[in-house]
Amino acid sequence: MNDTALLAEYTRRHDQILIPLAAGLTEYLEARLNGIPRVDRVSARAKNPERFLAKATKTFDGQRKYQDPLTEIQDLVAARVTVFYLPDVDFVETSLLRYFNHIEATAFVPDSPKKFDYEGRHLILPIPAELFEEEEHPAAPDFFELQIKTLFQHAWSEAEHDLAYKPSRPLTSLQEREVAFTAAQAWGADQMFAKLFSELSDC
Amino acid sequence: MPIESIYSFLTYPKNHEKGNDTVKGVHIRPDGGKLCTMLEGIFNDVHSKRDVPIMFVADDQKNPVREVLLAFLKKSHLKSAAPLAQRLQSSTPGTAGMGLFFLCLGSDDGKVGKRVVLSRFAADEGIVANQRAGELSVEFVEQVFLKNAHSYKAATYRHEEGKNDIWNGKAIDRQLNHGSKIIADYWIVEFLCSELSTTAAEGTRRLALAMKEASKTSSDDSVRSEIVAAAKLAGNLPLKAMTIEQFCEQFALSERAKGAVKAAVRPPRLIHDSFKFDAQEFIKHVSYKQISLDNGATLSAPTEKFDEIFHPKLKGNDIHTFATEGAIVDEKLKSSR
Repeated sequence: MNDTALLAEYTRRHDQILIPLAAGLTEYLEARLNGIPRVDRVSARAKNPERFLAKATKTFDGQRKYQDPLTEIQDLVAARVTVFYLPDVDFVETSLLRYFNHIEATAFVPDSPKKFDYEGRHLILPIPAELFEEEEHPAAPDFFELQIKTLFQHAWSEAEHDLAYKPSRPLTSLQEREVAFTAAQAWGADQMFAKLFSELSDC
Repeated sequence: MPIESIYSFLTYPKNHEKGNDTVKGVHIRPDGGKLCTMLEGIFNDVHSKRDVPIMFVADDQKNPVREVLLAFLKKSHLKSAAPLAQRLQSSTPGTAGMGLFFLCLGSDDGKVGKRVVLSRFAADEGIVANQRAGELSVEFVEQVFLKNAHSYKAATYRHEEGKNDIWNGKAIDRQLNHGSKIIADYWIVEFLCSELSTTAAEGTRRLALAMKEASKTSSDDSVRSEIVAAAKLAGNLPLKAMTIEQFCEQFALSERAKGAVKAAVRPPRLIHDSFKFDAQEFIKHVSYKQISLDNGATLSAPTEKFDEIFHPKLKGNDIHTFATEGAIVDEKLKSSR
């Protein structure tokens, strides 16, 4: 399948399958998180066709990274749960993993204690069986990505995404340091709120 | 012919004196003989309602059994099949005994890609009688396999080259009529490093909500009573695998009550989905039983303690009396029930 045909096929799936699937997934997650405190927001989206094509055509060492992007890319549908405080991330993850098996559970943290960067919990989970009317669903993905983030992690990653993660031109050293500074502020805010929450909720 | 190659291994339980030995295997060429015909039957026997959807699980997208299976599917020979047999040997408990393990690779008519079936037949005992030159010899043998060709454990996965698949498969336990009521954990969890596709909490939640919906929407008093009675007793069920259909049968629900519960499952095919019953999750969704009387009273109490709290008695002609006592801890006026 060439890139034009791939984009056309993905666009068809996006409109007919993935958008309704994302809506169903939002409802599904909300129902399972019902009653859990300090969940700010639950949302799910279908990957935009242009972003899909950009990811599908990525290369590594001169070779296409994905042989079959329609089955290999696992965030065609992605959901995010935003919570108030750091301890809520663990609580939401534990609560949701009662309802899902998983094939990946990763806590993204900078690789050095001296660095400040993207943070968040990512899980790759099977799309729930009840969202498919038929058992066989060859045109729909088997998995989705779930991110669990605090309000500050979410705010930082959204603000940073277009500027630094996918920049129009390379960042200067100063700009990289400025981005790290904002990550440090988000990290610090989470730490302080977690501390305050722990101290004040015991009263 | 759907089966292209067959590999067979003799495996011991992990605590057997030979449990740490390297497994011995053989490549069997499909020749249309009795063994191949029997294995073909197993290869094609994957559409029963008793089959259990399973999935490989991992923290980093690398499941050890899936990795071995993918290597086998990429290049199938005795050497790439052996790690699966070795893993089965190190996962088999003493109670399961010796086994004959088959790995069959083939394809399905009209479908792209390959399908692999892993199956295990437990060893049994038997007597062999041979008549040669007018003389009869009778011998007791311990390594008898396939005494019942319909009694085995299996799992099957489909794979298309270049696709990120075979995360999902189906487990089959045709030994269910031989004592064990649930598919053996060692087969799914220990050997295949997998879990039932539907988690205990998810399946139990689905069942509880279907019962709640059925009891709310049914206009038949007896159906509602049956469902409420089952809900009350269900809290004591152990953590074992079942489907919603099996749950209804276990509590001997009438056809009408079964129909009401099944009608509340969306999509309907999930009534055949296996999950382990989770009493804690069940109680969470059907925790309170409520009765409304025609005199305007509404009685509500934890489902499993309702009778103990209200001591219901049938006075006659559909008239019931209830009696309870306790200290008042809350009192409120409400605009509706």
